Amino acid sequence: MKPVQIDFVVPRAWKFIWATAAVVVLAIITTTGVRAWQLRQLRMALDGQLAALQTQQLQRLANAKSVEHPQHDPRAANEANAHRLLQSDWNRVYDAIETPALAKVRLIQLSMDAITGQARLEYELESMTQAEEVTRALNEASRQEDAWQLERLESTGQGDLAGPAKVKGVWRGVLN
Amino acid sequence: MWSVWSERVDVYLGTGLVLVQRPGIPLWRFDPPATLPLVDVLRQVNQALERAKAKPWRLRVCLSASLCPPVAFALPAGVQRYAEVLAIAKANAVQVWDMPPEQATELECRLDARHQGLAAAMLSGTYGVIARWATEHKGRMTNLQPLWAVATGAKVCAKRHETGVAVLEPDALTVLKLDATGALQAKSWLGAHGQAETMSRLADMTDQANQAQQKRDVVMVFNQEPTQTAWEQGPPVWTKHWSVLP
Repeated sequence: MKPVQIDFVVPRAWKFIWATAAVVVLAIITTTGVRAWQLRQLRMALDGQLAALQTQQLQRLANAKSVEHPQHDPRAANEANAHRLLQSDWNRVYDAIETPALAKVRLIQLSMDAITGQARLEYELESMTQAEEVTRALNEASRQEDAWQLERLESTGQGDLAGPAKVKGVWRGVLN
Repeated sequence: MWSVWSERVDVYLGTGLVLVQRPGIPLWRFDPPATLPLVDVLRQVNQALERAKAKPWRLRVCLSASLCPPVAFALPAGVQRYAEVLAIAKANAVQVWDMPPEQATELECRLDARHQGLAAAMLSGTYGVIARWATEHKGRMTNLQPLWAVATGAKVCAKRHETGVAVLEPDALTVLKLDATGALQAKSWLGAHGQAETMSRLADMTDQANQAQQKRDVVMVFNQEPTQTAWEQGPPVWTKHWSVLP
């Protein structure tokens, strides 16, 4: 037979157990609520930061585009081009041309490309042997080795009635 | 010895007998005349033990079957709600107490947690007097149980679970018995009983099926005077007051 369990007094332990359970449940609910509230705050703050970052990034992207590709604005492009041309040093070309060592030969053509920074000189020579002399004179005048290079020599063929046949020489140089 | 814990006191209340056991102090016994009201009996207990000056007590009160008899009742099928079961138990308790049915409100009834169809009933007046007395003078009542219910917690009952149990107190006899269907039969008789009378009561409650199986019953006797050694197989409270009939 199982023992009979009859007591007219409700054990006080149950009160304690129920109270403890209530406290524990309350603590769990409170902790969860606080945590959820914190997470919500955090999420809202992060959302705000993300939006700000995105705005900033878009702004920066727009700025970069307008700086890197100025051709969108023809006036700005023109201005930048003129500025670059003004930065170039033309004196090196003119120094080479105006040197007295070149008095014997005649300059036929001078062409310069500001964008690539190259110059081209065309001289009329008495004979082919003069080409070496001209190259040295040009390089000395511009105070730089290999600044000017002989591109080609060509004979003009028959001379005119008065004199012998002439030779045409082309030199190419880098400005900067 | 001084201690932070309140002192644990065992009290046995029966008709014409009050026993109080405090730790380290010899048993205090009081035989009040049967006509003395319970309030006066408890007041004398207070005076004798100088309770007003004492430290807080925790009271474990055991009641004799004459104050709190068992109530066995058959539960109709389908009745499960606590309030309904309690109402049925009260209706049966009225019959046990020989009271008219309209006085059912004057009974305190508690159901057994382990057996269906078993309860204990005591008078509301008695319950109120004991509860008030217990809470006076910094006291606290932890248990208020019928002695026959406590006695079923003995090891000897747990070993032979199919047997019946008889608890013989100085003022009453209680018999609890499982019948063939597994339902618990319980009955108590007032007045002092001898050994032969107890056996005949037990035999009356034993039905034919159990008699055929020759199952033995346990008869526990609650003595007024403590013995030298405690009965090891006995109930957990008042350990020195129990003996067993062969």
